[in-house]
Amino acid sequence: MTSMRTPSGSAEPVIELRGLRKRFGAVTALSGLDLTVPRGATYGLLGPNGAGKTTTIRMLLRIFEPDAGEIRLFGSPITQAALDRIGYLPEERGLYRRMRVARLLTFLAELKGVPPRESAPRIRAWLERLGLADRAEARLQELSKGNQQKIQFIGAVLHEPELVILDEPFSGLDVINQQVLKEIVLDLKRQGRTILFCTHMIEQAEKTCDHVCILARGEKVVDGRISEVRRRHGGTYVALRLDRWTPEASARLKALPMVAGLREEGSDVEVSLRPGSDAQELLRAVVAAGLHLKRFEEVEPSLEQIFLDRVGEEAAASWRQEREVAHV
Amino acid sequence: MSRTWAVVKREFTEMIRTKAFVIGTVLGPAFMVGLIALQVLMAKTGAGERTIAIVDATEAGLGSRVSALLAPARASGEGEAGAAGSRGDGDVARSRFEVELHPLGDRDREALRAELLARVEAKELDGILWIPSGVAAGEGVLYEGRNATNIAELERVRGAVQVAVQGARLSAAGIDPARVGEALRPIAFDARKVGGRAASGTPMALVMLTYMLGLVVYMVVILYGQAVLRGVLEEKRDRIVEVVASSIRADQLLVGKVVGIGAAGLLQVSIWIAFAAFALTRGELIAARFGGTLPELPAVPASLGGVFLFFFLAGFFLYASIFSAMGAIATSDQEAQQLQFPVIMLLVVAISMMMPVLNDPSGTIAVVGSIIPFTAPIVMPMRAAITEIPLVELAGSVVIVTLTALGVLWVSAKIYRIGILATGKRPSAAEVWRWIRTA
Repeated sequence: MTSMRTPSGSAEPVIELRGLRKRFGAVTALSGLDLTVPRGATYGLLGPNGAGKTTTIRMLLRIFEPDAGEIRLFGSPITQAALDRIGYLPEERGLYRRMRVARLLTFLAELKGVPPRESAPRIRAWLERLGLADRAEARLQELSKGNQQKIQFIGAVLHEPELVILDEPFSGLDVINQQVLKEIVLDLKRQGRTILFCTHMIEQAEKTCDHVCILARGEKVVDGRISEVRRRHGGTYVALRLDRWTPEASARLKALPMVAGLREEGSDVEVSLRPGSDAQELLRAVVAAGLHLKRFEEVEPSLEQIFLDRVGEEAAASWRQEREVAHV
Repeated sequence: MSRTWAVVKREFTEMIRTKAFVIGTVLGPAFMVGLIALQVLMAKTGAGERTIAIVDATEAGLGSRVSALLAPARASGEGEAGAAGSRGDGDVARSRFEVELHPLGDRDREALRAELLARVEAKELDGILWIPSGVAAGEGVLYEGRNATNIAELERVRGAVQVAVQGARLSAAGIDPARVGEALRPIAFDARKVGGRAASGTPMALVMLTYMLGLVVYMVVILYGQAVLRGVLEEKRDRIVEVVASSIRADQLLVGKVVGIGAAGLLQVSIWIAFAAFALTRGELIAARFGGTLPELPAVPASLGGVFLFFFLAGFFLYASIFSAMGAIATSDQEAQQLQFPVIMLLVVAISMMMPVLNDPSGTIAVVGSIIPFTAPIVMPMRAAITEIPLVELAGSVVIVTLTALGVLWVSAKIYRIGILATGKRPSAAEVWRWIRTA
């Protein structure tokens, strides 16, 4: 963290969206989105499926035209030159399956304006780094799914883009390759590149990103630097772990007068307090209620908690379910 | 522009690396060589030596007349056989007949038949011709033989019997058959095409060339147009298009695709034409090796090349654009099959115009066919090969085809832009119309 550049430096923001709207027939995908991604940020675009994340990205990349609103990339309206400075890993992965790896990567680089003579050494280096050096002449369809995904990732960064857009980059990768990819992303970040993460895995984004924007049903719920988002959200939150979790213990916790809400994950519980209450009050009440504690800590609200507070129990629960399904 | 070029290069190189392209390129000329060789060989080997027995039951000795007409040694019979209507197709070699005559007389018919059939079985004879005594009165003639399915040979035999019988009937009526033969002698008839420029060569070769031109355009449009459709469908189905579309505009991608695949088609046709040109200049040598000759080549104006190239490319662009839009609308191979059906019907209409255009290259069908932009790419090169097209007509057709191709490309690009990212169910016609309006 110490070596990180200041994300909101004097430079122009990399992405600026003003009043972005998009409808598909009767469905409103996005209703007036404002968003600013500062240079050098690792920015998480979060939200449940159908929140408008992919639509937003597609409009950034000129794949869709917005119905209304303004898009500025690197300080000016979208141009071919601006698009060349962006690398994109779409959620829906796909490559020409019959092409050979090196030829495909050469083509993808050329689409971004990098001539074959320049891309050739880069392709070799990337394949080397991801352990695919011996597959340069293989056809895509001969590679495993995970390796195909690595090739697609190389295709997204081969032209050394200033802005890297990664839509659900870790889905479909095994744990080892997830780790490899995480390290590469960290490297990109150290090189000062701006990274836009698009994901519905909110806990993961919370760990990786310094900025977030949470979308729900085509509208922005909250955005900004994570620390600021938490501070602005306010409230008092306590993370506690019960010695032994039972439904009965959970019910007793919920019944305490200073408790506004509970977010449970096994025996880990995040408690939000009613305004005016403080953590000491809760600690006393918990002990008095005869519950045994293994951990008790006053914390900043998690992003999920913030989402829950803003959007409501129902939407948060369905999002949680979605993530659990994705995990399986 | 450089991005479109990258797409052109990819489509072209990937296309010419496919097995289908390599096989098609090699098989095209092989097919042409085979066609020539086959004709020469057929002309040589189709004819054979036939030995037949004629069993003559007539009093008048009709059998010897028939024998004289069939046997090549007696040249005097040739004219009369021609007069009787046997085809005078001189360039196809004809079978040679050896005839052994068996006047039936008092011999036992069944015994003779058994004996002759045994010889047919032993392949000493090819067949037996039975001429009954009442043949002049209408009694049926029978041929039994191993070659009884060879229509050309049967026709020769039938013709000879007919001439002999007709001669006998004429004689019986007191008319000299030789004088009738003289009166019925065929006239010399030759066909030469005229029409603005001096024509040379055999009409048949010109017809062949014209037909080939039409077919080449048709084949390339179908094969490579469908390759465009499959390419679009692949990008869509395999979700490739999102990466590409994030780098270049949909219309650039579409144009790059059509140009790249079209270039591969043009390369293939060029190889075919180069090979054909080589084969035609050396054709005599090749044919001579097989012991045959080629028909005299038609002289065609140099402008034909330009007309062909323009309509070939315009036709390809026109149809490939439609095919690409169909690929963008379809979400599966089956849907693509259904959607391309009307497009192929348009081409079939053009193909069905080929014969009328050949018969009357300046007629109504030919003129209408070269105004309709969807048939002009096939009709125009054909007309240009066989007749002089008025400059106004040619220019008009060029303008109409060009404008239509551009218009179709424009509409297709709009459908493409939205269609390539639309997945799930196939859009309705109303939805496609909205894409065109809003894209």
